Amino acid sequence: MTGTVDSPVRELGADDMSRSEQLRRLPNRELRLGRAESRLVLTHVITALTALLLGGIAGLLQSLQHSGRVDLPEWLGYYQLVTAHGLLMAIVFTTIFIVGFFYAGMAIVTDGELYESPRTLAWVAYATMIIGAVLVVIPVLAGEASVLYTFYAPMQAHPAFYIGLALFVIGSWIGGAAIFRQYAMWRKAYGAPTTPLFAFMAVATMLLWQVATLGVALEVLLQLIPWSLGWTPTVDVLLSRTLFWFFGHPLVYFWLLPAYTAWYLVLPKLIGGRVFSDNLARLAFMLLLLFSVPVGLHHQLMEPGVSQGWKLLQVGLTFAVVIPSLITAFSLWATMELAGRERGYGGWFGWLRGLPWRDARFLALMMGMLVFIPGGAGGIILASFNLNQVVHNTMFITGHFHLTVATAVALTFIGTAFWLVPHAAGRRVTPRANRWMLAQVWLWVIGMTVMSTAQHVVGLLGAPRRTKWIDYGPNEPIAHSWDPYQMAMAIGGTILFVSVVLAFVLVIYLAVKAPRETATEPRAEFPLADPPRNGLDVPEWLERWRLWLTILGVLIVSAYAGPIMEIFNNDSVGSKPVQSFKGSEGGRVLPSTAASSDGVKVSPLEPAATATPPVGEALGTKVGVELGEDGGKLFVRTEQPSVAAGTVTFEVENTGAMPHELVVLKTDTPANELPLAEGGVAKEDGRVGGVDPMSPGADPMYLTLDLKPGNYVLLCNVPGHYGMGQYVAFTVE
Amino acid sequence: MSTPNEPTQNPDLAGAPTVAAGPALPARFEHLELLEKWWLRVGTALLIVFVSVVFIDAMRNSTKHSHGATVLDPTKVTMTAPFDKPGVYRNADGSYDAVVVAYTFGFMPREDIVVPHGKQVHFKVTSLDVVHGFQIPGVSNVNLEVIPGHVSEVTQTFTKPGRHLIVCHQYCGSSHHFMVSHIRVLKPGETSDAPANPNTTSGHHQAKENA
Repeated sequence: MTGTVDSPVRELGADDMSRSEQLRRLPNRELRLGRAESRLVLTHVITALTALLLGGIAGLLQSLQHSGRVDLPEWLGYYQLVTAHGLLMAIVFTTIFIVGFFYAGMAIVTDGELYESPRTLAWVAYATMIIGAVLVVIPVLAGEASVLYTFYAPMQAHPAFYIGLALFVIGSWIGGAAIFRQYAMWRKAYGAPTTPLFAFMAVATMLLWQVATLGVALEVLLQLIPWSLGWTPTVDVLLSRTLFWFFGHPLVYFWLLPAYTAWYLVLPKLIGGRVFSDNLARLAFMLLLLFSVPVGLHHQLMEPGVSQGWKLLQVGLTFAVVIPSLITAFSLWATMELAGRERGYGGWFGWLRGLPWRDARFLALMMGMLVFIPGGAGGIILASFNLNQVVHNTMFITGHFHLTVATAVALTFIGTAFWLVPHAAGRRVTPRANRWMLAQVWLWVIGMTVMSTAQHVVGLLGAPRRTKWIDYGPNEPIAHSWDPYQMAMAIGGTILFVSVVLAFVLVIYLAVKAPRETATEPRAEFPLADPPRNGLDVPEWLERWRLWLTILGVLIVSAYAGPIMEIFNNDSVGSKPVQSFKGSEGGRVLPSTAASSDGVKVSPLEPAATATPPVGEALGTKVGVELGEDGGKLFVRTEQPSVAAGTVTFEVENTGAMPHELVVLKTDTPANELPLAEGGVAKEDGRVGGVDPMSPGADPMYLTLDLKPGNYVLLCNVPGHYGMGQYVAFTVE
Repeated sequence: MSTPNEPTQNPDLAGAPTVAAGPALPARFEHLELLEKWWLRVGTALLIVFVSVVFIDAMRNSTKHSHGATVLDPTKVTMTAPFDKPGVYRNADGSYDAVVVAYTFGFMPREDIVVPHGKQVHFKVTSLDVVHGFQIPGVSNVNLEVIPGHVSEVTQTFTKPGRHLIVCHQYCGSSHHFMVSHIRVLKPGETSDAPANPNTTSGHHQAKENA
């Protein structure tokens, strides 16, 4: 960052320092990544930024489609994009960046380079994660896994999707093992001295990850993979969701703790300050480790099967995270205030002027921290049992995690890449590049403010998330009230996309194009802050990892043993696979062309379908009807194309993997030209009878009708199905 | 590059002996200690308030939340009471049951759910297939995650007459965005023609209530 940043090295008076501290402060001491470490770190950061770019493209297309102003081409599914966006951003970008950042910091604070075996492990981890990611992406691109990044059963993706996920997680475990091994080898070499703060934070974060991923590993390895391969017929849906959220919430802290690491350790250096309190930082990390895992049920407050007491317990534990968050907030603001005041800026808030706002590395971290304030407050709202029912599954959630992971975390990672990449590449950051980086950060902040604010507000107005569009037709005033916010989201999303592209281009430029370091102009620095002014006196109990893991284990058992027992004891019957993501998402029914509809009217006089066929005379002529899917195509098949007039009994079977119904219309309109009504259904003019939706694999149903001669259409009018070709002409002679 | 044997190269006190406490903070920073105390006190107080509000309210409205332990076979939903006859039923105590089955991509009953003004409505919702959502935005906080094999329940009293949108708000497949239903809230004084609830006693296929 030479030449761009006014960051005077603070001269300390000799009496400020103990002798040992002076020894460590040799003026020409330089932190520098080794060659092999540089290659490792560059590979990780560039891979992560590539995932960010691809995820950004998916995000842009999503926000445009969702605005209702743009219609995606038929071959590109909206839910395919949501799946790709979530996985690339929330899993691939974050995880690969995090381990890369940790390798860099571990190398710096434990001996300047990684030992050989952890370095090898790190590459094995990388290869495993990439293979896993590719295995996940292929079925997603092929439309075989549009199950979103939460992949809730019993919607079933291609087995490769789950196997890829498992490999990715295993890869991240190997990455964690690399960090643990480096730490253990370093400790052994020096007889267990106090752990450097960066190493402490990296080890704590990866421990959190190992524990958290146990949940999703159990879900994927024991439940989903055998089930997707057909080895087990059914899956316990509630158990799979509970295991997912055992992982899903600490996943948030796995993203956040590396950002905290940058805030605690990099930010002070950038502003010419020091770590405010080393021990407070360590305590905050340990508390975050404890209170991140036994809290996943607060994502399941609106679902049945777990009793209220357990939910409340985990809500309470969720709130406990307020304490380490407040500690962190205080430490960081105190660090900044001290630094600002030491530069001579006074007053209540005057010290803010002493901060290096024109340093993009600082600005990115600072904006991340500022955005985390409303982000954290939103988290408290969501975890509250009662407020949750107002906003559960609405756009409010989307707005929330776009503040937390997609800004606080993502901007911090991008700001970190802005020095880590040129440092590892042996290059300098010019003032001009810094200006582009500042633009990147501001664009992100502006784009996200617009998008996330709109998402929060429209969520409070009830707009659901995860839908291709939320315009439910001309007769829904509530949906109309959501419309302007969709537009704001598309505008914010477009600004964000520009920022994502800029981040990617800048990182590539910093890696291969920025000016190389020279004898007089050194490469970008590796900014790690000095320990606090009053020195380091880490109590031994903060370093007792076994003790903390034991407490974590006890907390997990207390919070989860009960709910898991309830789930095992509830006599529930598992679910068979359903692949309801296959098939067309349906064209947009424009309000001007759609007939107005006030609900499907089924006459109460209609004969009801029965589970057993009538006998004798009452049976009439039997006609077998099969409903199902053939690849992406839906069908209605009849045993014969026509039948003699009189009593006819349809024997209806659903052989597909999703529910279908049967509607019998007497109409002269050709089967493929039925007028459409709102909501992806055909108008049921001339309806003479029908069978309600049947679940896949259900026993056959029998519908007996008295049919007069004429033309008939048999169709499945489950929304979307008529449009996907699920109809057939039928003649009564 | 450093040689691996020089722990003093570490920026972060690697291998260093414990450092004795330095001089006290300069006078102009002393306010931080006071601020820190109050920050944590106020923070802890807020935490206690948040937790208490949530717990007290949850205890008072315990029936509003969906934590039911009722289970059923998801492949036999349409043969299991009460889901064999989705619709609205009048209970003996003057409240109503709204029995709903979610499926890709719709809700049964296919007709509007009609409920009287100002009466308690107990929603019982299950799924034929995948996970669905059941949300009545704008006029209520009815907001359920619908899990196959389980019954999601919530109680709500409606006071805004008119026809309101019900949406599935959990992704359920390619036509998820078409999955809607409607609830029609009658005007005050209008009477509901909902039949009496036939499911007061457990039948053969009655969804199982766990202890």
